[in-house]
Amino acid sequence: MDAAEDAARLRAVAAGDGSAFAQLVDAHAPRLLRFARLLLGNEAEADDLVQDAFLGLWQAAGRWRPEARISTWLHRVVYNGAVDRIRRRRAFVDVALVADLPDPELPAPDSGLLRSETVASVRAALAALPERQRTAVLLYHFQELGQAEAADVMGIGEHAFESLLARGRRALRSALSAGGTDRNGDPA
Amino acid sequence: MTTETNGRTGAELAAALDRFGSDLARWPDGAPAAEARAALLGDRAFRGSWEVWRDVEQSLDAARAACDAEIARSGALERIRA
Repeated sequence: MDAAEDAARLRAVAAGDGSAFAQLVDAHAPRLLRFARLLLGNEAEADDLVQDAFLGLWQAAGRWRPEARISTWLHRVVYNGAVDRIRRRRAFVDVALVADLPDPELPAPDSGLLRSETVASVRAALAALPERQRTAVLLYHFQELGQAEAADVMGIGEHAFESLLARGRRALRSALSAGGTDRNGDPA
Repeated sequence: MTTETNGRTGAELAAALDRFGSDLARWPDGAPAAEARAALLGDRAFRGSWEVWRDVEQSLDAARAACDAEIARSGALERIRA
């Protein structure tokens, strides 16, 4: 669904069309759930956050500015909500984020052990990244947003986004590739 | 030691690879994607770095697919729709 279709659906939502809202949910919710779950490392919190984002979209439908992009807006709402939750979590519980991730010892039902180990390694590596680097990597690689849109979601300039992305990517490479050090000799 | 590749140093191309990834089609305007394509054929060190990134990004793709499968199984979409 492109931005023009999104905007048309949201106008229909504002006019009381419930099926248009369901179409927006179907188009955007799976990606947002992926973003929120990998960012937070907690399925229940992530699902609540995405549900809240859609509630906010529904409430904003009547005053939506046509130049705003729904996908960007939803990502920004989820990102801001996730940051709030991560900071609250840090304030009360001093545990690694990885503790909230699914148990890597449990293989996914429809995948082999090797694939399961790869997925667990990626999740652990993502969870170990600082929150802003993790967000940059998720927006670029997992959500496949362009740099300008990803920077907009995070409320930063494109150069700052590029820098975060590069640092996050290098840390992931160190964690995931054989050898344990990156090209610059930095330890994994 | 850096190598020269069509006017860009190997270090500059490697830095772009670090930033933008192994899928050269996703490199933004202004990034030296054409020079990187040439370096893939002629610069062994660059190709080695590119292969490491490709493997890392394939791991990210696998994690994304696993996450999507979990979401589909979880019924989360149905709960949001309801």
